[in-house]
Amino acid sequence: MSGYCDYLKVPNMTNNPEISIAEEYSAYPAGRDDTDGKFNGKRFKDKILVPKLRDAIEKGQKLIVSLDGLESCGSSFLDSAFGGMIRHGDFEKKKLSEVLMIAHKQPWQARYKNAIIEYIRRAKLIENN
Amino acid sequence: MDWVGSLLIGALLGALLTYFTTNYITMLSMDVASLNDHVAQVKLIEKYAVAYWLTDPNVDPIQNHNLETKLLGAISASAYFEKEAKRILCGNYSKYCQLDQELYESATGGNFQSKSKAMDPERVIKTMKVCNELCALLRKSRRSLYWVR
Repeated sequence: MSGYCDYLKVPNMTNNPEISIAEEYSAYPAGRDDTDGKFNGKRFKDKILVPKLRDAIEKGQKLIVSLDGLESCGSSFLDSAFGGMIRHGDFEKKKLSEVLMIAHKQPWQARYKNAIIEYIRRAKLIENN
Repeated sequence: MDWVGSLLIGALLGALLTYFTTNYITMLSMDVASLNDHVAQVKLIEKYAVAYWLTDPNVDPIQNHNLETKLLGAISASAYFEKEAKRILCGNYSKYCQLDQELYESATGGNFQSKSKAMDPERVIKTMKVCNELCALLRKSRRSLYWVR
């Protein structure tokens, strides 16, 4: 994995699992929840991102989320998927900063990575989830 | 033979100077064209964003969907400028990144692509401000292309 940027820490990448949003979900993800269509942010979070992160944590690994291949992506999707993990209490920010890495090969995808980092930073836990 | 040699060296130097000047001007023109194209792209994003965030999806769902697609397409296409942005913008690059990020979040944040999307005048104002700041920065960079390099 060679990326322009990684989220916070750069670990030994050789044994870390990787998921590609474009390949495993959609190159055109859109919307926040199930009312917004099949490839929404909440579904990506619940069905793919959170289970894979939990699995990686159990094995003492980090999860690399690849942005390669994404053709378009509204920031509402990214906020729902990544900021949603904090809001809905799936993980704490500190834990995410330790295990989540965002990787991309194209410089123009930095926009998505920066948005993800910002949404995680801004998100606050919603009480009574 | 001395004057012939001098003539040849002069001609060679002249040809080299012409070659490098032409290349330099061509590269400068391409950079200016890239900046002009990107200014036009930002204005297009602004146009679609204003129309989209002032459209009530309950009143005109087809128009809303069309504008949503156009806005996302324009935003996605604008990202390709990033490939040469650092080289062209030089000292203005970090400010450009900040504004580009603000535009992305403003234009496609909130309830973008959501069933609960509603008209959002505040988002329109924010987007217009960012677009104009971005265009001003790009124009400033265009000026400095001519004078600094």
